[in-house]
Amino acid sequence: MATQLNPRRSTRTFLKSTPPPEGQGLWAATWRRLSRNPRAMVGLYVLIIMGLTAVFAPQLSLHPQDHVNMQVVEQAPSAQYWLGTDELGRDVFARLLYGGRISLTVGFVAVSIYLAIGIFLGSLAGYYGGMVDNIIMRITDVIMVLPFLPLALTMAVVLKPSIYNTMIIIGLLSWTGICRLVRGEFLTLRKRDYVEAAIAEGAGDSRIIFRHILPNAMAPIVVSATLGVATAILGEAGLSFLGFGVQQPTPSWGNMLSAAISLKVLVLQPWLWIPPGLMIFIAVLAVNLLGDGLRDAMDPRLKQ
Amino acid sequence: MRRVGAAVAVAPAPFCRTLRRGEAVITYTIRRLVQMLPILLGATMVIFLVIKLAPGDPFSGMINPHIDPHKIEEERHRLCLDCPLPEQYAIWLKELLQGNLGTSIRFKEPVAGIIRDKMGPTLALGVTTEVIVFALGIPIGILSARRQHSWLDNAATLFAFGGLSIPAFFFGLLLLKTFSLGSVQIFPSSGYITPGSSTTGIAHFLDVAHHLVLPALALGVTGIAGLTRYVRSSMLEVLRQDYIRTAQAKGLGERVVVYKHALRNALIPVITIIGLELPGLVGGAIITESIFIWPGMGRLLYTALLERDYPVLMALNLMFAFLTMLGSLLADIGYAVVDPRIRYD
Repeated sequence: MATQLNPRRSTRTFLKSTPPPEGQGLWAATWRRLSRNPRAMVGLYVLIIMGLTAVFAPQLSLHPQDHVNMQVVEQAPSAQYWLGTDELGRDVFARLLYGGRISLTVGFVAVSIYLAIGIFLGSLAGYYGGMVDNIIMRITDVIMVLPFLPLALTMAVVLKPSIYNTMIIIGLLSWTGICRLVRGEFLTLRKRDYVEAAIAEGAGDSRIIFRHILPNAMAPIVVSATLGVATAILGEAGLSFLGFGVQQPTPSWGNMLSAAISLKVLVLQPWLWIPPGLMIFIAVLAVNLLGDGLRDAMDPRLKQ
Repeated sequence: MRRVGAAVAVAPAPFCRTLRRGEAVITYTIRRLVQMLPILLGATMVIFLVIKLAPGDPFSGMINPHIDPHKIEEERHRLCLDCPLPEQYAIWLKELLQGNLGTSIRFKEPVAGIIRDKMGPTLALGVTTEVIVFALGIPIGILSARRQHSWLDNAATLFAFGGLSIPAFFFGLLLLKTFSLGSVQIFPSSGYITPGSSTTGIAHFLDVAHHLVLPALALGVTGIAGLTRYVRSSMLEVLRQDYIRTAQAKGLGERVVVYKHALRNALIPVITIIGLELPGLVGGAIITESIFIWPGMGRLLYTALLERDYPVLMALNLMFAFLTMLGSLLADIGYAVVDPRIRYD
């Protein structure tokens, strides 16, 4: 009866006495739904295995990746060289493992770069609005209208192709999607009551942005970033395949695949180009499966 | 009586609406065109700056003992290569607006002419690819939605994930090896026409078509996969709506419901895809044209990269940016024309 007489107190005791049920947070709920999605889990396991083979590349390969041995040039796969050797007698299997290191790293770093740019600019635009928003969105419009591959290749030629420039170029050209997404989230979240409450309590801009709004915009950002890794891996592969990405002798899946430009390799030495091509395919497929599953898991309304 | 009366009363309304709608679409188009201008200007700035990051200028490579270094300095000054960047940009932009895209360093010819020669093959490749994409993507998407969760739907989903994940160049190489250079040689591996042939008319067309099959498939696989998913989800969305249930309740057959009632609405968002596909097509064309030695703009870009032919690179980037904008503009206008629910603001 007392609780009815003092509703304010009752709410407080209610909140204190019953903590949120176990595993009901966004991440726990996401994981619960994700782990029930076989496609997404296959993607996740494949990525974990790929990550492990990349990390333990030195332990897993029988030969050093850059060991040139002119006595075993262009050999077909055998017990000693599981995936054969290239025109310099290097072990293709070892190069494939080390190439995975490079390709996956470039993918993740490039996405980190553009996440940082996109979230920063998107938050500014969405939170402050007005002039700031206008300027940032016009810049976004311009970058969006420039097709990725031609400009990325041109930039690579101008800046000299290298692994670092590859990451930077992909990062600099791909942030627009995240920026628009974050801006959109900010525009809706900024008007929510709890944000108004935080403003009324006198919280500073950065506190509101980082503590109140951004955490609630995390779900779409995570989904978009995951799928972005697939695009970044494909971008690196495309640049490197054409010779303007990661440079020899550093192996990447993309530049290993470019061996197939030669007709002899394409027709007679498939062990040189089919394995790296398959690895790109599998890695991108796994990321896409995981990202798709994450989208369904984080926003069940979208699921069909 | 009542029916006739109602018809008379209602008849003028759709006509008026169409008229007002036509006007609205035209104003909308004009507004979009005006909005395009600053973005295009921004794109020229970005491209100009990127190229200016390159070390040196056309004269840095010329070390010729017979030419007085002072002469070179003078020439540099005459071409305003020592001016501040904004001034150089203004000069470049002025030339650009007059249709002067510069002179290719490699071919020593005006860039505009070189690009014009390469447009035909790229256009042929792009159009063929789009035709294949739509001819395969839409029916597969519809079937997938009609029989949701059937083996056909599952197979299509699997194919869509695969198609979206396979690098176009890897797929192109596989096609080359399987159908052109291996034991089965049914399609030519490279070029636009059979070398040395001088066929005309229908024979010429067939020759080009024969050369087009593999590159168009390689370029189209991502698009087919994407479109399949898009049509499928759009169709599922429409099939859930009330008016579909009404049609079914009236006792209409499934075919009529799907193809006459649902399909029209399901295909509306697909219009946007045509426009949004353009950038991907451009990017894919660079790689596909390099693999299949297709004499188009993508291959031109690749050779210009190897030769550091900056004027050609600038012009191609600009053209691609322009095409991208045009694509999204056409998509928006098409969408507005077809779907009366769209508001223009």
